[in-house]
Amino acid sequence: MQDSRRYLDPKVVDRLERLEVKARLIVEGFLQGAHESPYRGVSVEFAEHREYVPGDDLRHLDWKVYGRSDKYFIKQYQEETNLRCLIALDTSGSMRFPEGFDTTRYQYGTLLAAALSLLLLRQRDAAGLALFDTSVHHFVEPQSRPAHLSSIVKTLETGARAAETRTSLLPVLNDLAERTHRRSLIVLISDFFAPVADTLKGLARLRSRKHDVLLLQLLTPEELTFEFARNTQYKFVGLENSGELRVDPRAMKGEYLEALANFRKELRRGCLKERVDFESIDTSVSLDKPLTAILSRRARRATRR
Amino acid sequence: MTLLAFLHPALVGFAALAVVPLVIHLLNRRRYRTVPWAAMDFLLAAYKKKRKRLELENLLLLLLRCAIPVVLALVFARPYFGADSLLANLAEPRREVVVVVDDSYSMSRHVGATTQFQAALEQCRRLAGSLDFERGDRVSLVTLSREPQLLVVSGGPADLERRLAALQRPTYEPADLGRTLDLLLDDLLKQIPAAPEIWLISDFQRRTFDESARAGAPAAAAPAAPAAAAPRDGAPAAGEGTATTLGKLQRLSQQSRLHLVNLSDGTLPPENLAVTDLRASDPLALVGQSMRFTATVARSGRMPSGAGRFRIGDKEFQKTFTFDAEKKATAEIYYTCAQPGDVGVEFRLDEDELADDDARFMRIPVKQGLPILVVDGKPGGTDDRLGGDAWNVVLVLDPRFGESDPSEDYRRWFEPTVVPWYELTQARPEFSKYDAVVFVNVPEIDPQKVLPELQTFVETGGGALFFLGDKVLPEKYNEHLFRGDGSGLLAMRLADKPAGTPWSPQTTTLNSPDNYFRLEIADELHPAVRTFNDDRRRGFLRSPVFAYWPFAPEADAALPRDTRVVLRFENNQAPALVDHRVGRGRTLWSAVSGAADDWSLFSRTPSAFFPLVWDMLNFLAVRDPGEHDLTVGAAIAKSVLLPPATAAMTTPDGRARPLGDLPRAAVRGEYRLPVFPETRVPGIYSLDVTYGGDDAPLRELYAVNVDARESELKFLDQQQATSVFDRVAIASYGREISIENGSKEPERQGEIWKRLALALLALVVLEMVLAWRFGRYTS
Repeated sequence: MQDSRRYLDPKVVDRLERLEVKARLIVEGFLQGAHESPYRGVSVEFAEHREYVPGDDLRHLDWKVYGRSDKYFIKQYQEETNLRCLIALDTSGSMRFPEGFDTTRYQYGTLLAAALSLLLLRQRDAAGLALFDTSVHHFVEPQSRPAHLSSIVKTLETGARAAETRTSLLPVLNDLAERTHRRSLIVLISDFFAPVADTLKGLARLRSRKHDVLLLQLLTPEELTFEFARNTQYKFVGLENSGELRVDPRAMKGEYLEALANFRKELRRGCLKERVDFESIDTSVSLDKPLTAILSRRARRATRR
Repeated sequence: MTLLAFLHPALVGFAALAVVPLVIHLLNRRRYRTVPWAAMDFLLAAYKKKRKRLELENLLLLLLRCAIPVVLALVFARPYFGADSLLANLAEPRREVVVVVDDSYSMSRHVGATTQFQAALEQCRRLAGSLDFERGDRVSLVTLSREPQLLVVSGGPADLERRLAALQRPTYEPADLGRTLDLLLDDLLKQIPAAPEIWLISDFQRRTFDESARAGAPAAAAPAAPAAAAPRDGAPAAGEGTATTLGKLQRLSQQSRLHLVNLSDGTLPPENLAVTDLRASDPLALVGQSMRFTATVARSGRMPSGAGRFRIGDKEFQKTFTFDAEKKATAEIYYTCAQPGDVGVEFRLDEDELADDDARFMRIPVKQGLPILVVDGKPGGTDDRLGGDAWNVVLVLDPRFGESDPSEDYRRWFEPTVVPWYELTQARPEFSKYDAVVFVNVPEIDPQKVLPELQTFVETGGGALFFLGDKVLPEKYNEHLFRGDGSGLLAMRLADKPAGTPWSPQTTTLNSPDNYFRLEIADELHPAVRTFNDDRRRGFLRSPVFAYWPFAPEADAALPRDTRVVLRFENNQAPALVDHRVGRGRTLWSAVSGAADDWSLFSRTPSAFFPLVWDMLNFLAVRDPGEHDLTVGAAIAKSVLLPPATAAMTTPDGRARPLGDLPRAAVRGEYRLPVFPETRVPGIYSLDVTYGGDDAPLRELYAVNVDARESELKFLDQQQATSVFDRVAIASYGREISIENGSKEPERQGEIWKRLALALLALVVLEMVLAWRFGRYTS
């Protein structure tokens, strides 16, 4: 049987055309993997029975009840009706980095969003999508129907727009807070290259609405290492009209990495304070890590209830 | 003293390569890769924090990279500082020494147990022993002679000793201080660091250092004059005064520290005899004819007399001589040569203090007779050979010409052959069979059949004598024999018609000298009139001339080149006898008719005509005069008329040396043998040439002698040297090298290239370290 774990490598799966296919392959790979499947480990607790109506999935018939009562009843699980997850994906200019390479940050984010959506929908959780740059420009209400995946995928495929303006997260987060009435798990996927104070303020707003928030910061290897092999000057051009600079990167490496580390440290600290989960993801690594992180949060949430 | 100079100043220009790193830096600023970047804020923050330091690092690296080619160029340019320089303390203290050794032949004089030359070499070794070559001291060796040589240039002890060991004895040449100074100033001093010590080791012969002794004029009296080409014998050319050599000495003393080592100072006066001249009574000898050889001996010292021996061929003859008040003596011998061919003559003294001038050599050609072709322009009588205009000349050459049975004792000096002029065109004339050709009143020289042969004959060393008479067609001579560049046989154009009036009993009177032309000598030194240098015979020249054929010089009135007027008319100063050199031969043109006719009584005056014709033909018949008597160092050059098969030169030591590649083609009728330059030793050199077929081989001798002036053993003492070097800065003067002067710590002058090289290394390492430290190199 073909090893589907290879589709966890974003470079591999990105060669496929259809996002839905990609998502399914990612999920299969994820589930096939040697790591603990949070799906299996998640306690899907039986909540109650309800009478069978035609059309229900026969796999959920409780045959024991039938044996005792000669009547057909469907098992209902607690999660089917409890978890709502909204995946918010940044589509701003900075997410197009690195341009011209195999997998941009946005492409990684879409893979992650699609795979996550499929996983959630399989578990009968409600999954929704929000795309944003300076504001939320696409919103798909969370639903738990399996067919809802196609809506999410279609939005992911067509929803990105050429935004050049600078990302400001506070209005976006406020908007999300307004749109999400029911308590949800909000997964924010972005580079978070924006003023940290504004971001934290927005996160605080979301937390005040009792939402669980998970930050997935996507960073490319280039940004993390700042390694440039050629012995020449480089002209760095900001992707969101943030300026340009001509410099020998080797001379700037130490200071740049220090500035980036300080930013990440500040963001992490702020998230900790707001009780927001934070994960920094290297876009060159396999997708199982972010998926694990998300589903772990889901499981913890389920057990708290 | 030099503050800063460079051994190789041209290399300093490479310091301009310092702009290369700057250009690269500027080009790099325009070369970059564009990278879209998301995390721009962090990059801008980092740049803001590091900007100033970045600029400083870039500037520092740029300066280092620009400095490296500058320092590298300086290292190769080899700068050096004089003692007065502020940076002198950086220079490596060392001595740069130049030793000038006199290797003229006067240095072979024995003083005590050794020669002056050996003493000079010993002084060289002593000086070298005082140097510290480990420290960087260097020595150069130059010879002071007519052909000075740079034997060692800034070398070490091994170089110097190798050269000294090869100098077995001095040359046989005289010293030439001017040329040696030129070599030092124009060559050596440009190759070594400035301000070297120059040690001049010589016997300080007066004529070498005091040009007044050479030129006979008071020192410093002659104004500075442009240097003229010196004659071959090395005597100063006219106009070259003391100022020239003195000026060079002054320049030399300004660029160096000049030390004089006078090996003669304090020595006993020389006792030496020198053979200064050897000559024969005639330029060539006839078989069976007695020749007088005379040797002249000069004396330095007080010997009243001396003895020597003539060696002629393989025979020796002892002779004694006594000195006159002028310290000159002569030894003579009469000798009769029995065989034709070249004979080497030597006069040698007993060996004394200076052996190199104890002998002198000469070469005398010996002939059976001199074949002379006489071309008669107006033959007469029943026999066209006799009785014509040429008869007068023929009888001078051979009084018994035409006699069928002359006595056995009768020896002909000249062997005339007479031809009517028109017979020359009937067959190709073979002028080369004769030693000279005489044209008497010949109307014209056929331009097609005769002139080319005659031109070649003269150019290859032959002689032609023209007597111009009433048959001469001047327009023909002017058209065919005259060339404006002087290369024609005729020196000057002939006038359209004769001057004067031939003798007539009716019109000519001799009662007044104004009624006829009289000859006088124009060139006292010309061999053609040597008989008339005696005042007792001079009057014979005044024999009347009634008509003559005048020359018409060109409008500018200057004599053509290679032309001398030997006789002229006293009345109007017009040329009467003209000598014109053409190639290696000569033509003589007599405006006076050689025939016994009514143009003059001169030709009928035996006491005048006879010796004049005799001397003229002797002069013309001697081929290549002076080219067989050479000074040491002069090259022997010879051309032959037939293609040579072999050619070899036998030197005085008996070694025969082939001449090398022989010519295959003639140039202007001659085959030029390779030049033989190796005449370093005086003596008789013998050239042997063979030809193919039945042609007789050629043997010619060459006499090579030392320049007798170098035998004037008068030396400068300290007082005289001080006077001669009055305006020249002298660091020291002594009879030997003063080690004390050399043992002091030398002035700190010299090169710093080693320190610069270390600095260069440091710069390169620093650049690499800083570039790595600043992160400019990829890991």
